[in-house]
Amino acid sequence: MNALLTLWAQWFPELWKGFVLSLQVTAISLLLGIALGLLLALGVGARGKAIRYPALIIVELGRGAPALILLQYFYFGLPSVNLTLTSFWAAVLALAYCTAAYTSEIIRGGIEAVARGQHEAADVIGLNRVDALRYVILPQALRVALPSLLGFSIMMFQASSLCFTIALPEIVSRASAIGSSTFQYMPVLVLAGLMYAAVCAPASLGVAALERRLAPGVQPAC
Amino acid sequence: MNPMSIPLRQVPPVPAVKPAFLRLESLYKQFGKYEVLHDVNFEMSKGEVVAIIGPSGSGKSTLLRCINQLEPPTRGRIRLDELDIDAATPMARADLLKLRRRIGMVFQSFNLFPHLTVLRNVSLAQVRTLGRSEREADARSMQLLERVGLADKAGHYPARCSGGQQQRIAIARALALEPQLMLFDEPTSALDPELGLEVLAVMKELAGEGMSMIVVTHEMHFAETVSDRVVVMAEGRIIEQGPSAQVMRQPRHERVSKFLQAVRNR
Amino acid sequence: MNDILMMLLAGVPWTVGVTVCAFAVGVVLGFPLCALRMSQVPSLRVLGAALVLTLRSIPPIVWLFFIFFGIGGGYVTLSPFVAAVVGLGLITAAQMAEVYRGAFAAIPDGQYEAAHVLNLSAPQRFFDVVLPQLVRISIPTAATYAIGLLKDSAVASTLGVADISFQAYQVSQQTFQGLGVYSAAALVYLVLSVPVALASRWLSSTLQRRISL
Repeated sequence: MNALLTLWAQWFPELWKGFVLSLQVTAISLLLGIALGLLLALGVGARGKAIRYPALIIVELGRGAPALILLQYFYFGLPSVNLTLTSFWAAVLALAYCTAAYTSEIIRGGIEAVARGQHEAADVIGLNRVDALRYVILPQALRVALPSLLGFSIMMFQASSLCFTIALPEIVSRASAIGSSTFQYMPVLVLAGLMYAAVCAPASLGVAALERRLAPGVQPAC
Repeated sequence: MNPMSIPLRQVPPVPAVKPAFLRLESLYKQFGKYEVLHDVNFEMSKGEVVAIIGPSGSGKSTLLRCINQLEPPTRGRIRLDELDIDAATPMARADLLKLRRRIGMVFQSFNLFPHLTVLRNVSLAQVRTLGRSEREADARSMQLLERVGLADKAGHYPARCSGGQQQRIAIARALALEPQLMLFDEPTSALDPELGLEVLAVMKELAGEGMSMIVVTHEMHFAETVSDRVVVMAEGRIIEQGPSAQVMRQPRHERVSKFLQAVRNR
Repeated sequence: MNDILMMLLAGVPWTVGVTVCAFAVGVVLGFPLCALRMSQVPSLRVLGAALVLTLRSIPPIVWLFFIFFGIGGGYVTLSPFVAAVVGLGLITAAQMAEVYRGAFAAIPDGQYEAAHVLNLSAPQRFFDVVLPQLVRISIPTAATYAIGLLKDSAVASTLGVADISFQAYQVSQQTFQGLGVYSAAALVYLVLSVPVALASRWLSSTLQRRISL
């Protein structure tokens, strides 16, 4: 046991760097992706076909393709049209696209969950469409969508491990490098797994608790 | 009696003394195959309080919702002051907003914004549509909340208020735009009778102050005592209208008297 | 372009194989895991919850490496395919356990009461009354998960399973037409997911008819 802890202590700083990078990639992708997801949600809900269909195609492609393929598309694919991205930005763009596609559906579900009377109330007090969305519909829609968005964010943190395949030095890349140089795969992978679990397990429990609290019918306290 | 001494204004046909403030001309509304409104003609003058009664499904609510274009009518014309809206021509967004700003509406289910405090509910439209500053809007909102007797609830969220209180807040929210006309869509139907009374009291006060109001209601007492005129609808048509006392006590149509009897015996 | 497509399609059996086998493992192992999670014994219940949470809190790629390099490297020899199936199968089991748990909750209490009143034995109650409804309620969620698994199975390529993603990487490195190759690969995945969606719809409507009559 002591031997294991010594090894872990020795590897931890290296894996920690990877952990921070994983968090960074995830955070930036989520910020970009959720903003884009919001736009796509509005696009898919738009009345005009010229907006709705392209938005639908973007969403369905993003949801239909494996995240791994998206990552490699941005990293190995784009250079074939002379657009070379660093693994960091390829990762961010790919994961942001993936986030946008999935969260647009989550947000759309939230928008549809807002009662019709809210739209009407916004209409009759003379709010224009943008104001109605901004002040009345979206705050309520995002509240409904919040648990799912957080749950998805946890998934995205895990999905960032796929950046191993595009040589981004995140947790799994570093763990795998340590494993192949020391042949101590088992202990280093356990440590890597624990680092993911340390974030994801409490976060999942937190989201589940939030979901119960925000369950339909429960209103916000003062 | 010398025929010449008959005052001119009693000579039939009675010409409108004041130009109509709101005028609906042969309004039709269809939902798919179903005709919900059929050739509705109606006018009212400023300061009048009109109650619309009739069995459910008679098109009362739809008529109300056509007036502020929540449901655009299929055919017909709506005039409010100088605004002239013909269902045949598509409406400019700017005209629609102009119309909405002049008409306040109160819903059966209140439809307060649950994520905003009571004060913000009343202030929001003042800031966003009238361009008032937050301070100005909040000050005005407090006045309105005081008027409906709920100034102490300003910082609460709607969910913490009773149904009657929520509806009074909804009235304050509608009044915040200083509308020329208030539409009430069964404002007490979702409330327990005693909570309905506090809402009716506010509405009565409003009527006393000269607000033009159209009220779709099942409250026969309100229709009889507060409103100036009662309109009875059935199957998408106006089947009778006239001064409240007359319609409520001596309706011309047998159908109306049967309806009134049924409602009163409930 | 035709060659590229042919090479990508050569990966389809592996992608389908990993997905189907891992799903089968998950569907079966999901039951005991769900039983643990819903056990009357508190310690077993906590164990079940902890297993589900652990399986879901660590990314698939880490599980696969752990099984392939960690276990497979030192103790027993595992082929990449088997390692992928075991790893993804365990994760699927955790998901399915949650799906079953949700489905149990969705079966009306009256059904259990009726089964008791009819004096059915415990196995009869489970197999004749509960299980058919459980399956029917679980199908839509399980199908959605299966489509997700089809895409997640791409991670098997990191172990060297010659699936669609693996082929896409190889072909793009050989032809320098990464954009076209990966677009085509994405489309192949998309096309593969269509039959799953259709099958799910057909299955749940058929079961609905058979069971509700």
